[in-house]
Amino acid sequence: MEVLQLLFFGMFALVIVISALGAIFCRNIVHSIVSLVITFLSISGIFILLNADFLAITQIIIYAVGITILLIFSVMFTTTKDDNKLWLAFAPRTLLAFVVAGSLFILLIFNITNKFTDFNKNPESFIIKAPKESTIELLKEQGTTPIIGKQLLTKYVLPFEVLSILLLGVIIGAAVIAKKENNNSQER
Amino acid sequence: MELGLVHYLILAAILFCIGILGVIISRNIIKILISIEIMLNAVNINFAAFANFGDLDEAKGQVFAIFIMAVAAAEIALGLAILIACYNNRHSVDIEDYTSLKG
Repeated sequence: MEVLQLLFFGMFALVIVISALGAIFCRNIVHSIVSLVITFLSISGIFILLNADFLAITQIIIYAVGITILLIFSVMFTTTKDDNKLWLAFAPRTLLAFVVAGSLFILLIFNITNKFTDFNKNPESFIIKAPKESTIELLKEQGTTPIIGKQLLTKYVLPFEVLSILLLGVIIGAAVIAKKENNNSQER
Repeated sequence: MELGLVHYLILAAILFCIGILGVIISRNIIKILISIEIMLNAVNINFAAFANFGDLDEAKGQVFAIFIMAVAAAEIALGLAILIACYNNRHSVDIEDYTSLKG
């Protein structure tokens, strides 16, 4: 069981890293969007390995379907054939980007491997443990959806309502921003 | 070798750094938005990993990951609306053409 989990994690992680690099370094923008979809689907596989079934389905619905459709439609509206030459910025900031990302990566890996192995050795200092057997049995029956729903409507009800106001504002704002310029260009 | 929290954190760190690299390195505005989505997904992996290894009974991390997903969807919708509005003025998606604020 452990070996199988490790095998699936390795497979998903490999696909995620390769396709995320592909999403950035592909020359054609549509290819990079397809690569991004593969990244999102593999991340939902990682969520399933982490006992987060509701999160995995939400990931597929929101990211791999919704956001991708938005991106592809905006590519259809804006991109012309010449835009394939907008590949990478060969400017000083490219070198800076590699330096920043590399140093942040080294810092993160250093922190993770040192600190959290200490926490693993001394679990009292920070609560890191594999999920309990009883919790796993409960999740096999009902999944995480009732737990998340209970949390959203009791403890986190204020952020939930604020989020709905944010979504309302985004609907109105996106419609206004995208529509006003269209009217102006038609009048001219 | 046992699959622990550290492996998920390393994967999320790799993904976050790829996102940062993409934000700075690319010239197409849509590709910058794609890189921001990759970074938000890396944060989601971190939240789900801590929810799994911390408190799976309450699943607080998964609740926050759902909040992040909703905000990310709002962000990409507004970003693309702004992109289309700017495209009607400039007829370009090159980030180097949008320099009018710099003076």
